[in-house]
Amino acid sequence: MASTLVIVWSMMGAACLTLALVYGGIWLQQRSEHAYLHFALFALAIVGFGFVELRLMIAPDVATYARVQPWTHLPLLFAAIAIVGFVWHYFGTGRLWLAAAAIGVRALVTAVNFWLPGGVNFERIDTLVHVPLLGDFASVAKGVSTPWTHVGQFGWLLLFAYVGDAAWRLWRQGDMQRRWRAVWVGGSVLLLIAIGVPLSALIHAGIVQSPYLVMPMFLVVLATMGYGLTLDVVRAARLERQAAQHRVELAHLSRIGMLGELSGSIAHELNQPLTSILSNAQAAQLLLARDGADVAELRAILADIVDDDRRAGEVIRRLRAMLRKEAVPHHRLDVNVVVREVGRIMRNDLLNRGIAFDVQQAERLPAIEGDRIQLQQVLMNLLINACEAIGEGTASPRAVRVQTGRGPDGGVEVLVADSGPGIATEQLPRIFDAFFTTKAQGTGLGLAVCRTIVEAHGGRIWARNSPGGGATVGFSLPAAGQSHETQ
Amino acid sequence: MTSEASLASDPRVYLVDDDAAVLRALQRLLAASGIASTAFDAPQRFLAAIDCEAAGCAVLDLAMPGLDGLALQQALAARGSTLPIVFLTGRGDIPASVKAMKHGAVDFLTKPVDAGLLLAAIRAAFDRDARARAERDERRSIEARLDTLTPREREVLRHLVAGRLNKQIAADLGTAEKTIKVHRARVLAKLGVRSLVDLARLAQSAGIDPAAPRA
Repeated sequence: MASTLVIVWSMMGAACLTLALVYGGIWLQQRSEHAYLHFALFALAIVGFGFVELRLMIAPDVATYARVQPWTHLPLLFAAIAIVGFVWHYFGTGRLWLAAAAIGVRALVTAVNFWLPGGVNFERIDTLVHVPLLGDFASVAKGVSTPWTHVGQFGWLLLFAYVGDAAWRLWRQGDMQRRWRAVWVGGSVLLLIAIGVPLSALIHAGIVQSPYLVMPMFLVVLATMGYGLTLDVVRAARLERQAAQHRVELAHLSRIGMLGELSGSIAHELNQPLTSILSNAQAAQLLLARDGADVAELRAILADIVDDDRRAGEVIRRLRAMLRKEAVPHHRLDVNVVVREVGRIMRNDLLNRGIAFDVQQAERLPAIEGDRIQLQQVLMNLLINACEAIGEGTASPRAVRVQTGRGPDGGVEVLVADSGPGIATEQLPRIFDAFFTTKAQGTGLGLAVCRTIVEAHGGRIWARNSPGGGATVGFSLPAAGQSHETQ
Repeated sequence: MTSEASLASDPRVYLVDDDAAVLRALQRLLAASGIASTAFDAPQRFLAAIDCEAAGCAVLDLAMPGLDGLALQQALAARGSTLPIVFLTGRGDIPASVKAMKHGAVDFLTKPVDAGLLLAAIRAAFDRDARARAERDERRSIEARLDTLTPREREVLRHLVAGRLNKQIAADLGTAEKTIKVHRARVLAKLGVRSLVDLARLAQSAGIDPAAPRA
């Protein structure tokens, strides 16, 4: 039957190992966050120390104890390094020389430990005392300690100074979150050293007969550090979600701003010819209402109307040419990359609305040519429309699917399908027209702009109702190298 | 594009717009409606040509390069012109329209403007101008007639307007009642009024204070 000590220490080891794996995994996702790596290392060092400590406590005789004893220092060195590294990255402050001194002294002690025949703790172990612990008995050595023990403890004091100094500096930076870190994490490390060092001194001096019990103490520190880190992870996720939300709102605003400018200039440029067409036509009506209308005058009026109509057409043509020329730099793009980027920005927004978001990307699509931002805008627009079509209600299913694939003529195709009510058949031919809207707050320009952009890329945009319900809006773009000219 | 160099006093519409095609179309529309008009393709040209005697109204484009409609309205006012103004604008600009109306614009119409609305606004402007002009003419003729009075006759006039009897006036001015009677007849003749009531009304519109009775 396994002893209680073995069971308890193994469980603590398993807990540490789990934390090490979790935070090691988080670090792999966010390589720049070194605090996670050091936390995982600290947890591993505790596992190592716990193993050695357990072996000491269940050592049957002096020889076994003496053989295992020197190995305590190796995980301690790693623990010291991990604590220094964690504090360094997590606090973002601290004195480098104190950190180096603490690690240096601990490294020196570890080296000497393996060089001295009996290790640095005991010059000679006389006997083993069996101390009751957790309903079991733990072996504790009695003997003569070496002066190197004090050097080792000096190393811990340096670590204490380093962490205390870093915590104080962090505290002075003032904001609540930092102060909380300083007290919570710094305080637990300091408490550990403040209790551990005197305790081990008393044990070595033979005043207290007890095993080191370093593992349980380390575990408490690890738990407090882990709690702090978890709160940080949660906080970071919340900030990221808010940032994504802001990005979406910003994209929305800038789009509306652009449309505002555009519609202002369209209004002005078109108003002049429209004004003269109307006035000319009404003048002609007045002339015709009289007897003996002046045919020459009527002819002049009609000629002016034709001219003004051409002028209005020219305004539109110029605007489109402007959009085409200025706003479509020819970059080679992977449509899947554009879809992924928009997906990243929009995913949280959709999830917040309780809409399942599914992206299906075809492999090995041909590259296209165009402007990344504009195509993102098109896709974002279609996604926002899809969400609004699904609405706030509780009807199920609530899902939006984006699908990429090969389009006609060797190009690519992007489909956005929603589970909304679909588009009324009589509205289908008009939804891409400017100022056509079915929404109370709609400008009626979103899809019109989408069409302008897609067509400026030499592509085509269409909408249909999906066979299984909901609407699908899709656009196709020609592969890079194919002709962009559609006119 | 001043089609007529001299600005006659017949009511006409002064069209100001930087767009030649719009100007031509509006002129045609007005001509077909029997309204005379003069067109200017730049606000500065209009300012240079206009004088205070111009009758009718101005139809101004709100957004013109160099001098916009509102600035033109203020420049006209600064020259003492009372020509009513109808604004045309490309967009429904509420702050600008409020400002224009506060400064006495007759109407503020959005382009493209319907003939009915434009003609109604122009007729309202013509009416307002005609009324203002008639009042001004009357005031001027009164002033001209008042200028023919001698200082003594003017003094008698102020006493008459105060409703005093010939005898009282003679006493105040230290002269004979008969002399006052002669003055009184001349004042009425020169000012072209028949009764004291007419005289009082004329004096009031010319801003003549009644004489204070001597204590």
